Amino acid sequence: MPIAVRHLSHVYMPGTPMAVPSLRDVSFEVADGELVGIIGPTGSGKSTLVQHLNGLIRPRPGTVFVDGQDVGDRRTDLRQLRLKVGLVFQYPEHQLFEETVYDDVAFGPRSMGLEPAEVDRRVRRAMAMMGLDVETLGRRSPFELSGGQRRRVAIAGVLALGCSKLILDEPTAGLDPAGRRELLRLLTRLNREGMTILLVTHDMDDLAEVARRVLVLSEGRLVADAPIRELFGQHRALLQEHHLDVPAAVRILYGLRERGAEVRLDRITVDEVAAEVARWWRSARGASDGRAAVEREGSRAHGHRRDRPRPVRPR
Amino acid sequence: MPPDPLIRVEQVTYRYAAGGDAPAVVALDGVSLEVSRGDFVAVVGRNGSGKSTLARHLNGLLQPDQGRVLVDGMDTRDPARLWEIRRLVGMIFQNPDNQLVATTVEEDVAFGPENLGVPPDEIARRVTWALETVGMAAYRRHPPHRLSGGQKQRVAIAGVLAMQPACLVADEPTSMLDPRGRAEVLQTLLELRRRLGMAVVLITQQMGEAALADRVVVMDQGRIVLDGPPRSVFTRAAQLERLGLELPAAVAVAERLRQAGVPVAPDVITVDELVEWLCPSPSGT
Repeated sequence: MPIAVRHLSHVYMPGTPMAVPSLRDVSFEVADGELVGIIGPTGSGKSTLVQHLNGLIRPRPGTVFVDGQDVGDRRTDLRQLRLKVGLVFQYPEHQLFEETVYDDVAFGPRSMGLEPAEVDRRVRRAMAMMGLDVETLGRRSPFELSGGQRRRVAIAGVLALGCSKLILDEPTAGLDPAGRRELLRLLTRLNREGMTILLVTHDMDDLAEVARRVLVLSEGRLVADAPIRELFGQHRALLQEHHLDVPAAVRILYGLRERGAEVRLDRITVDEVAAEVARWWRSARGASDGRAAVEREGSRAHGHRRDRPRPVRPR
Repeated sequence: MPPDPLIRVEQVTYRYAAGGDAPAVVALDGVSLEVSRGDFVAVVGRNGSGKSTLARHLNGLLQPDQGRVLVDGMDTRDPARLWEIRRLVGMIFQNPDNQLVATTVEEDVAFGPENLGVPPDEIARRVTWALETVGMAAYRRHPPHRLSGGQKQRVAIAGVLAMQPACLVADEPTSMLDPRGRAEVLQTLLELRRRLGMAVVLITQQMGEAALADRVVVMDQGRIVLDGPPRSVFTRAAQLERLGLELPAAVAVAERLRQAGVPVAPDVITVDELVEWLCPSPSGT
C-alpha cells in the first residue's frame, strides 16, 4: 500500500473568517510503479493534496500513509519521508542558483552529508535520468542552457535525493513542444524503470500521452478516479461540468459520434484518433461502395462532398 | 494609399550579452513586421526564437540595436515619445500574480490613468467601462489576490484598457492558467478586437490559440520565417514540425488521415471543420 490517502480533509486558514475547505473527504491509493495524472481547475485542491503526500502539511483530519508510514504520526521522520517522495514545484528552474549544473544537482546529496563518491554517483544517475550528459553539461552554468534543459536540471536535483516517488506540479508549463515532448519521454522512461509518478497538470494532451489513470479534483472533492481511456471516452460531461474537457483530438471523435458515425471514443492520442477515423472512413466507404470515388477524388476534395460517407444515424 | 500601420518594425536587430566570455546572442535578426489597427496577430515559435524580445520592442520596453520601431509614426528610441508609445501599446505578461499592485480591483485599473494625470471623474468612467469590457465589473471592490488566474489576467487587461490604447500586446497570457482561465482570457482578447477594433498581438506556444488569429507570424532563431493567415501557415505541416512547433490537433489528425488515404481538404484547421468535412451535417453548406 505505497500511497494511501483516507478521508483526508483540509481547511485553509482554520478558525478565521477566511477559512476555506480546500480538501473534502478525499480517499485514494496509488500502487508502486503507477503514473497517475491529477487534474482540476485552479483552486480545486491539487497543490494542497500533493503537499500532504510528502509531509509539508500534516493530515488533519484523515490519514496519509506512504510505504506504511503514517504521515500524521508525530514519530514519523518527515525528513526521511521527503527523501522518499520528491516534490517538483511549478517552474522549478527558478530555484537554480549554483554556478554549475553539477553543483546544482549535487546540492541535495551534499546537504545530506553523503560521501563525495556517493554524491558523484547520485549526480550522474540523476542527470542521466533526465537525459543530461554530465561530461558536456556538468560544468556549464545552468543559465546558459535552454529552458527545457534548465527544468530537467531542476528535476535532476530532486531525483538526486534518491526518491522512489516523484510528484510534479505542471512540469511542462511554458516549455515549447520539443522541450515538452522530451520531458514527457523521460518521465515515461523513469516510470518504466519503476518510479511512481504523480503528475499535476492542466494539459490534457500531456495526460493522454503518459498517464494511465487520472484523479479529478474539483472544489476539494475527488470527483473521478478512472483509467484515462474511460475518463475521456465516457465521462466528457463530467469533465465539462468541472470546467475541463477532453483533448482536442478526442473532440473530433465526439463530433463524429454526434453525427451518428460509429467511432470509438476511447482513442486518446493524435495517432490513435487518426487511426480510428481512418478505420471508420474505410468501413463506411466500403458500405457505400465509394472506393472508386476515393481514387478519383485525389487530394483536391472541394466540391466532392457527395463522395464522403453518409452519416450513420444513431439507433 | 492605405493608411500607415499602427506599428511598423523595420529591419530590427537586437543582441544581448550571454554572460561570461560567450559571444552576444542575436535575439532578433533583421525583423520587419507591420501591425495595423484592428489586426489580431499571433506570434509563435519555440523557446528562444525571439518572440518575447519582439513583443518587448513593440512598446519600447526594449530598443533595437539596428533598425527602428515606429508606433503611430513615433520612434521608440525617442525618450520624449516613450510615455505616449506605452499608452498606445499596452502589455500584459505571463504570470497573473506579478501584475496587480493595488489592494482592490478598481484601484488597480485606475493606476495607469492616475499616473497620466487624468481627472478623477474621467478615471472613474474609464474604470467602469474597462471592467465592464472584460466582464469583471462585479469584482471592482474585491482584493486582486483572491481572484482566479483568468480573472487576474482580465483585470490586468482592464488596466491596459483604461489607458485607451490602440493595441494590446499579450506575452503568453494563458500559459499559467487552467482551461477555464485560458478560455476567459482568449474570449476577452477576441472581444477587444471585435467590439473596440483594437489591435491585439498574442505571443503564444499554443497553436490552437494561434488558430484564432487573423494572422500568424512564425519565428525561428530571431527571424520571421512565416507570416500569413492561419490557414496558409498551418497547412505547412512539415515545415512547422521542423521548426519545433506542435500542429493544432485537427491539423495533425488531418495530416495523418491524408497519409492513410483519406483525402481531407487542405484548408481544414479546426476540430469543427474536420468533423464537417468527414461527416457533413445534412443542413451544412
